[in-house]
Amino acid sequence: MAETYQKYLDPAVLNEIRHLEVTARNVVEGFISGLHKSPYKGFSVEFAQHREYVPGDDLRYLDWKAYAKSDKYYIKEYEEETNFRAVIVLDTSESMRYKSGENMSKLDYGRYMAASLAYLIQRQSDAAGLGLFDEKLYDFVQPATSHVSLMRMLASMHEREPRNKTDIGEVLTDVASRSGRRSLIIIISDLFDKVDHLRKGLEHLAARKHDIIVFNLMDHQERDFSFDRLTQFLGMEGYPDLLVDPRALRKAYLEEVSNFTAEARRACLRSRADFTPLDTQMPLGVALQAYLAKRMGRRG
Amino acid sequence: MPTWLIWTLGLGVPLAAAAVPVVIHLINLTRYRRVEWAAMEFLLNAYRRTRKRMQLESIIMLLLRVAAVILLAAALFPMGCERIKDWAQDSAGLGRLSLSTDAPLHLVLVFDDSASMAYANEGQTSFERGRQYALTLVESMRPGRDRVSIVRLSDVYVPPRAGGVRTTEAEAAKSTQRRVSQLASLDLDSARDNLAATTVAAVDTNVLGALREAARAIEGTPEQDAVGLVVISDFLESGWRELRKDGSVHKDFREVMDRITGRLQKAGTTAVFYDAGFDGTQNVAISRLECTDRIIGNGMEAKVLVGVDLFASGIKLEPKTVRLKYRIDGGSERPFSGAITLTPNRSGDPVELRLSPRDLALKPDEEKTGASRNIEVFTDEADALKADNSRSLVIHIVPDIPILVVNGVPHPNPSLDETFYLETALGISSSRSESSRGGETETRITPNRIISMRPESLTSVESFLDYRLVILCNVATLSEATIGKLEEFVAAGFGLLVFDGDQVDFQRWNQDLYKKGAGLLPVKLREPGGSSDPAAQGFGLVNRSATHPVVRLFSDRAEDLEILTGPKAVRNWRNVDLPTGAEADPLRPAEVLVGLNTTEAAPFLVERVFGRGRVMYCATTAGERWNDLWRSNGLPLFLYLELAHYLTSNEARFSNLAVGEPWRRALRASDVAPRFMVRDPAGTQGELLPTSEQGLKLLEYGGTAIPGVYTVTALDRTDSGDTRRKWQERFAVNLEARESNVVRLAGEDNKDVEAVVREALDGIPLNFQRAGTELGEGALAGADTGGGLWVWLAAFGVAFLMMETLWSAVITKPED
Repeated sequence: MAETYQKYLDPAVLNEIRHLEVTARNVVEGFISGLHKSPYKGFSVEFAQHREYVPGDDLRYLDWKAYAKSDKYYIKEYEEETNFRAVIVLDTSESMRYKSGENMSKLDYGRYMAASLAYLIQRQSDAAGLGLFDEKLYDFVQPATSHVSLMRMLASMHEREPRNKTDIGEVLTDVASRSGRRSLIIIISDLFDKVDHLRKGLEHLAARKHDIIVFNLMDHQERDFSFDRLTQFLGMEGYPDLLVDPRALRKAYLEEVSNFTAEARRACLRSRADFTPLDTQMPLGVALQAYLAKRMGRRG
Repeated sequence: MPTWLIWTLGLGVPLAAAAVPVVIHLINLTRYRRVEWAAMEFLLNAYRRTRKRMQLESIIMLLLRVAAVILLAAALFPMGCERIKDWAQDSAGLGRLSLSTDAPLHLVLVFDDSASMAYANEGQTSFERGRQYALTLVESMRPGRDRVSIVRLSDVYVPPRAGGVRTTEAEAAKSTQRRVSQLASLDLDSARDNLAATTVAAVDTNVLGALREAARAIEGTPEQDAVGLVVISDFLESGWRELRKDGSVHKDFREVMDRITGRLQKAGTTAVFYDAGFDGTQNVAISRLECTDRIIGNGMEAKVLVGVDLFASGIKLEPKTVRLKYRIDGGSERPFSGAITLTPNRSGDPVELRLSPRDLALKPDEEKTGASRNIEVFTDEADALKADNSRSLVIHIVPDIPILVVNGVPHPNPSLDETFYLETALGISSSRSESSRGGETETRITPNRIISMRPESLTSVESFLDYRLVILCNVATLSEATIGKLEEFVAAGFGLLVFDGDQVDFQRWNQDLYKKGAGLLPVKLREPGGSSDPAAQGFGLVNRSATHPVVRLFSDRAEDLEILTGPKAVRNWRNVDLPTGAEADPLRPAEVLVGLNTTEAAPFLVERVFGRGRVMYCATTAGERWNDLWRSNGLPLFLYLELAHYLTSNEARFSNLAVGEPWRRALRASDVAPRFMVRDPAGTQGELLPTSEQGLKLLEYGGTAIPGVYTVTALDRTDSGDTRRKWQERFAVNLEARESNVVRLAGEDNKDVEAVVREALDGIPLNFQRAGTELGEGALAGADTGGGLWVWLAAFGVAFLMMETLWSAVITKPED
């Protein structure tokens, strides 16, 4: 069993992202001091800076020594070095089973992504958790730093069979409630649901100050739709079958995909979530590397 | 073809074909691949948005496929379609076309077999394309019922018997003019055989003549029979220009086509013009090859003028560079020109080829008989029309030219002797010049060998045929016998030059030699004119014929003309009357070449053809008795040399002929042999039988249908009974230069061929078809479809089906 789900920790993939720091765009609170900065200044750990007092500031943080020296009111601000919590939310609905040609399925690609991210996060002494979902949230693993937890996540991903429809709105609401403290929520899904549902779920997460990354994972064929002969499309997730000449439909289909992607992107922006479309033909490491580098750039 | 089959093909095939796309469509609906699809919502949304448009497109596509297949089927079986049209017209009470019945069909094929049809493109000639079309038409006709008449545009008349030995006057006339031939009412097998045996002729086109023949054949078709006309040609300017709307015989063309169309319309058919030619033509042609001297004496040099032209049209209208080479008697090739850049459709200056005496020298065994040399000039590379990439010229090399000079007034004092200066001038044999290697080279100027004789000695001459020219100088009278021999001599094709003088008994001459226009003398003599005073001012000469070979020498430049017209040296002359009324022969008129600058413009030099030869009369003396010409600027030297050259080379004009022109040669006593053979350029050998005309033995050959060099050999018998060559002579037959012009028929606005033909036949229904778009027999019955509309539709159908099939590639098995 252990060897089976170890496969998701592809050494080549991990090697590619080894030298990158997993950092959050915003500082989250944590149990362990680390590289990550906390937004909660105040009760201590490390002095950050002075700033002038403005009415409404808590007088507990007033620096009286500075007042004595300068006759001005300064507020002392502190930063706390802390770890961060990340929850990886992986879509395991039936649509994730789709693959074209020699490409891996979307679900397998998502599993690789989730495993790699979780391993990397834990290697940096941060806490990584996992939630699998379709219509509901299953097998939610709370963020933890232990290797046991990583193994549990991997086993959970491995055992989960793709089935059912997607209801991302309900699922994200559930994730928001379960995550508790401020976390980095990494959503890996094809998002094949109503955009309104996505928007609603993201809003719930944003309301709880979670930082959100959305990987919109699709197969290359789903983005390109380059079929060349009469085809019967067998619907997944309970959709009806359709016999059609795909060449005649391609333009309209691509417009639909484009519209959906644009709407999803808008929904993400509205909740300050990062939106990254991914293609299962893209090398996994390259995709993560590009994304994480972008995150680091934003940090400064 | 049986009616039921016509109906089956005409209606059944298109209908069956129409069902094919529908069946394919239905089959395709059951053959597809299956794919599980995740992004179904996008797909369903897209489908909902585009469903109506897709269905409409699908229906349109299906209809187009059906239409394309129907068009294709209809194009393959247009005859059936026409039957359906007839049937529809019958139903509407419009009458029934005769062709749709089972009436016998008389197909008249006007077939262009002119030399230009040999133009080749990508391995196929226009001729082959045309013949293939004609054979296809014949194949589509019903054996035993239908018949074919073939009118060939460019046949050379070859007289019957081996080699075309005998040429009567009528036959000779047929040979010399371009002639069409008609093979009337052939059964289909014979028509097929005749078409297969037809080859490209070497003469140009006589379109109007052929159409007249065709009209006769069509009008001779019984009323109850159907008749059709198909004209197959390459439609070049050279043959069709005169027929254009602005052409010289356009009216005649319309007239004959009106006659043809009247009969065709009764049969319900339309004239078909089939264009077997190619667009974008280019042809380099050696269009002219002539020697400035017709007869060359052994040791003389020869100057040959070579005309080379580039004819081009369409996209090939660009200059071309060629080099010229030559060879003598099939020997080694020798270049003689540098790179010559030819401008399309514009004649340049001729290229000069100088042949040295060494090139042309007689071999030891030829020194007595003379020989003929074949000068073949050719381009360094062959092009699309190979026949004119080379041209042959035969030059006769003679040991000498015997000229008999009859001196009417011999005198020891040269200035008083009648022929002293003349004999001296004509006898100039050679000139010496410094050679480039040092030393002197000797070049012979004339081959003349002068034999002088007194008038009284003429009676002892048995025949003048051993001479090539006889010159009478101030001879008082001639005996009847001598005159008879002279008439025979000239009629055989030789020359007579007559100088007048004070000794001439003009009344006897008029009686014996003029003979009221029937004799040798071209003019009627009167009393002499001018002054007998040696100190009196003379009169000058006036050139009356700019193009005649004798005076052309003086016509090129003003200073040259001054040599002729400058001297005022003619003191006395004979007043003469040109033949008029009953004495004049319109076919052989007397031509004044040079006149005197007197108020009456008295004739000075007059020529007339007598038999096959020529007589030249000069109104003054050969010596100084009546003029001071010899004391002037050398005029008589040039003039009399030109006269002698002209009159002695008369016979040599048969050395270089156009295709169809008969060859002939007078036989002197020494030329007669037991057997004469002729070999044509193809190597076919036949025996020539001598004929006789007014007592003169002749060899004649009318079978000059193939360009190239022909060889005539006289064979003698030895004592042992074997044969040996007595003498041999060659003559060249060349392609008509007009056929080298491969420029396509075009109007002033550079219209295409079809537009020009339609413009010329405005109002006359016709089908115009181009090679590669053949329709077969059905074309005859078609109305004026504007140039093979069916073919275009069929091409569209095929193109559509191919593109659509490539694009869709719909026939596949379901995939898992």
